This record gives sequence, C-alpha cells and structure tokens, in this order.
Amino acid sequence: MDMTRESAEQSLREIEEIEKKTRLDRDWRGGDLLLILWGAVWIFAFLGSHYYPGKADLFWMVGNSVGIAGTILVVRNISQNVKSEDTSKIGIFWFVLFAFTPVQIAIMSPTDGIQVNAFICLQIMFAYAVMGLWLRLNGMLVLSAVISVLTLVGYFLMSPYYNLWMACTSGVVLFGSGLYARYLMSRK
Amino acid sequence: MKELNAIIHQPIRLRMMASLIALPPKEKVEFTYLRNLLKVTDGNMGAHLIKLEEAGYVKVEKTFVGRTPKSFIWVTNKGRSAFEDHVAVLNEILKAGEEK
Repeated sequence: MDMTRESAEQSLREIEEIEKKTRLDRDWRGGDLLLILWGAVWIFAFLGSHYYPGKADLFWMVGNSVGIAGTILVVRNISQNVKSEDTSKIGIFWFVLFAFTPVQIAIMSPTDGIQVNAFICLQIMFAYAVMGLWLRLNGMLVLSAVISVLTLVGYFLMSPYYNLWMACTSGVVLFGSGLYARYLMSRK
Repeated sequence: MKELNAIIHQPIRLRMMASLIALPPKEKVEFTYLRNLLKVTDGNMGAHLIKLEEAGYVKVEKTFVGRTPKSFIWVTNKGRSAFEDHVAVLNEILKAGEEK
C-alpha cells in the first residue's frame, strides 16, 4: 500500500487529535459534573452557615446529602460506560479517607466548628492532590493547592468571615473549575 | 520498511484504535461511549469493530447492566503492537518525504 507524505502527515495528525480528545475525556470523566455539584454545595452550605450560624449543621447536612446522592449518580453513570480498575480504587480511597476523618477529629478535639470545617476542607484537598498525582492530572494538583491556600487564608486571616470567604472563594473556584472542564470537553 | 496495516489504516478504524490505545491499560469502554467520542453512527462503528475484532486487535465483551445490553471494548496486545508498527511506518514515510 503506497502513501504520500501528505497523507501520512494527515493520518498522524488525526491520531494525535483523537488521542488528545480521549485523554481529555478520560481525565475529566464525570469530574466536571462533580466539581460543579460540590462547588454548588459549598457555596450553599457556607453562605447558609454565614447568614444562619445556628443552623450551620443543617445546611451542611442538606448540602452533603445532595452532594453524596449526586456523586453516586455520576459515578454509577460512569461505571456503566467504562470498566476501570481505577474507578473502584478511587472509591475505596475516598471511603477510607472519610472513615479516618471522624477519628482524627475526635483525637484533635477541636474547639469550634470552623476548625472542624477547615480540617475537612483540607482533607478533601489532600485527596485531590493524591488523585492528581495518582492519575497524573495537573489540574487536580493546581485545584488542591489553590483551595488549600484559600482555606488557610480564610482560617488564619479571615476567621470572623470564614464561611463567607469560603463560599465566595473556594466554592466559586470549585464550581468554576467544573464549568471550565465542561467547556474544554465540549470544545473537543 | 514495513508495510502499512490495511486494517488499521481505514480512517474510522485508525481513530478507534488511537482512542482505545490512549486509554489506560486494562480499561474497557462501552460501545456508545466510544461511538460518541468518535462521533460516528452505530452502523459504521459496528462494522469497523467487527473488522478489528476479526483481526484480533480488539476484544468485545457483551454483558448486561441491569436489563440493558452493553458491549465493552478494549484493545489487545496484538492490536497495540500492530498500531505501534503502523504509526512507525507513517513516521518513516514522513521522514522519507522530508529527506527528499
């Protein structure tokens, strides 16, 4: 079978294009929806906690319930379309992390809700960093670093307005990252 | 110089192989997922998938998720090797053209 140089170049370009598209889809598979979902949960729960501090637990309970239900739906949809060893390992990792979290909190005996909240946010960002390294997703590493810094700024420098700060910064960053990921995927 | 692989060379099959190989090893994707990624029709995809399966380049596992039939596809080692050889030939053609 003969082929011209131009045809070979065209074929290689097509290969590169579809490889990039597949990797992009693989990297953000469901991740865009999860970031949008949890960004919305954080905005809702942090704003609720700021304006109704006595009902903070209720806002987080409602927000987390919606977040967990949505996460289960997204993950179930992914697993119906992709069979991967990574998916179950990721699920186990998150389960173990959240199994350890209450134990760690119990040992630390925090003095207020903001301490607990900041600790949990940093735990989640730790998980994002681990996933970023494991799955080689630079975007996750960057997101983890940015939100960790925002959380620390909120805790140490903005503590009277911690919840409002977190809603307007970390929540918006999470939500916006999801929208950006969705935009990137739709462009391909 | 090795020959171009006539089975892989067809444009849709080339893209199917490139996409499957870009996935992590041991990852299997569902038929409709791959079809949507490649933006091809069911019939087109099915016909080319059969060719690749007959050549031993991909495997297809038919199963059920609930009551919905699903077909999961993954590339074989033979397919991976054949694709790498095909890409090497394409690069050789490109290089030969540049040297002229």
